[in-house]
Amino acid sequence: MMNRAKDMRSGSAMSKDFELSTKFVDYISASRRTKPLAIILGSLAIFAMIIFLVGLSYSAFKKLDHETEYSIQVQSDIVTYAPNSQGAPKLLLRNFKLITPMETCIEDESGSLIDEGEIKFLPASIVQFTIKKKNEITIQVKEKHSVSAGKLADFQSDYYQCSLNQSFIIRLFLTDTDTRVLFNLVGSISAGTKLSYATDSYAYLLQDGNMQIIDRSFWAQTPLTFSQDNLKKGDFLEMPSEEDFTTMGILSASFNKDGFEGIFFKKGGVVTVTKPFSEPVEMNISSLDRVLKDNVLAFFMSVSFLFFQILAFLTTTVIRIHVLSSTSSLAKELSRELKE
Amino acid sequence: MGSLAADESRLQYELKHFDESYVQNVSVSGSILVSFMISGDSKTASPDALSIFTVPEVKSVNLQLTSIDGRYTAEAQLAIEVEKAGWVEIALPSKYQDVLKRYKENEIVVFAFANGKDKRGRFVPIVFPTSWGEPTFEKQFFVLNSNGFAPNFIYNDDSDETKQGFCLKMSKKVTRAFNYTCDFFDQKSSGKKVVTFSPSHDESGKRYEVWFSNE
Repeated sequence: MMNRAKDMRSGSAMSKDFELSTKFVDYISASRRTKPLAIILGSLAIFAMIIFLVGLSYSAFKKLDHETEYSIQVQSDIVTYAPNSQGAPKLLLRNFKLITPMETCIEDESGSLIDEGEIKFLPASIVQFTIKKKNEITIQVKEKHSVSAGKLADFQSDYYQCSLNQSFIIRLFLTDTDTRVLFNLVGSISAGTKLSYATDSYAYLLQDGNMQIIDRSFWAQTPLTFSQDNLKKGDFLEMPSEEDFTTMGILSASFNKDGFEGIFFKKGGVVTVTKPFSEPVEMNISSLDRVLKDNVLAFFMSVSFLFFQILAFLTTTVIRIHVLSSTSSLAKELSRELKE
Repeated sequence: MGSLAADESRLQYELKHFDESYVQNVSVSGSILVSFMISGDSKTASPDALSIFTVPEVKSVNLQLTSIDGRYTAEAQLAIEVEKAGWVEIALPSKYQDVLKRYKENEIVVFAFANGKDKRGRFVPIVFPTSWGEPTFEKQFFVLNSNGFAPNFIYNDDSDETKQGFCLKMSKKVTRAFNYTCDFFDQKSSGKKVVTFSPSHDESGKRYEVWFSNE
């Protein structure tokens, strides 16, 4: 008896649920509602899929552009520099002398070292910094192009002021009282040597370094750091100066330490690394790296995919109800005919 | 006097030795010291028509050919007999004629030399100019491989004045075998001169004896 009461009670509850669900199904299955509903849900699903695909193609095709920042630290025995404008900064020189040529104003008559002076390298020059012997920095300057294009450098010291129009070499000495040098460079900068099989002299090498590429995230444009410890001994690093993008940095050397340390920064443009005896390669970020690092992009893609799944499910449900209702209305018609 | 007629030049040289290799994927480089090239009527490398300037006192000339990417290298030794200084056209029996013709005239260089000695008994290479096809004398240039910052050359011209020439970096992506060209503007020069090539201004250079021809 208890069971039957229970049954009757559950039976009535069930019939209530059944009534509600049939009312709901009847409501939406009216064909004038299923069709537009299916269309709306389907469109939203397609829209969510489009967002997902946009995110995917963004990660696949986004290249480094004018927003990309390169932050590079390098240890090298050789750095080559070509200033990009008349406004390039001056360099402070201490404890130095001119090696060649003999007749310019950078000359202390007694032949000893000059205490202090300032030199400004001009766009017609290419400058090479090397440390050939410990604590001796050699600065070689030559014309950038074969045809002489004007002054290479302007020099000023306490007693002298002049321009240098032809190739020259300066040697600077680090001592236990003058233990450091620091040069500001703005223009095209490279570190290391592009290795070849030449035997006229020994090539100077880049020793070590790392580069961080800082790009902007999808839509939110927050900074993303792609850290790449990808500079090894023998590499050749080029940071050229293009029309709107230039490299700037500092080059330093210390008493009794090997080589130079360079800290360079570039916003926009390209940076190229040539591994020993290989083709030059422009720095790039793979699309996988981008998706893994760019949390905003990953968020957009996963949310849009989730929405797509929900909407697709709802769309198929509505379509099923429509099919069910059309078959059930068919059944109703058939049963009516049978009764008749 | 221009190059000699083909049948005459065949009598005047004998290819004693010719060894070449072309490796597609691995760049093994030959070694040139200093190549002296003169522009020729062939705009591409033409091993079947290579002109060499030579002199009666030299009986044997060595050739080293290298492509700029290091893929092609060749060595040859010629026994040459000429009555007076002039140009001889030779044909190298290369298996890679089609491959070589794809290189431009300054992408494969020829180092033609004989071994000489200076007054102190030190070895000095004697360098002969070469050209692809018949020489047109529009341009004369040296090609070398340097690690230096400002490779340059010094010589005394016909009036015994010391002249200096500078070399420009070749702006090609792959430059393992050679990376600098140095234009030689003294077109009227002739005879043998000592030319010293240095990697930069403050480093000592290497001496070569170079034969110049202006006709």
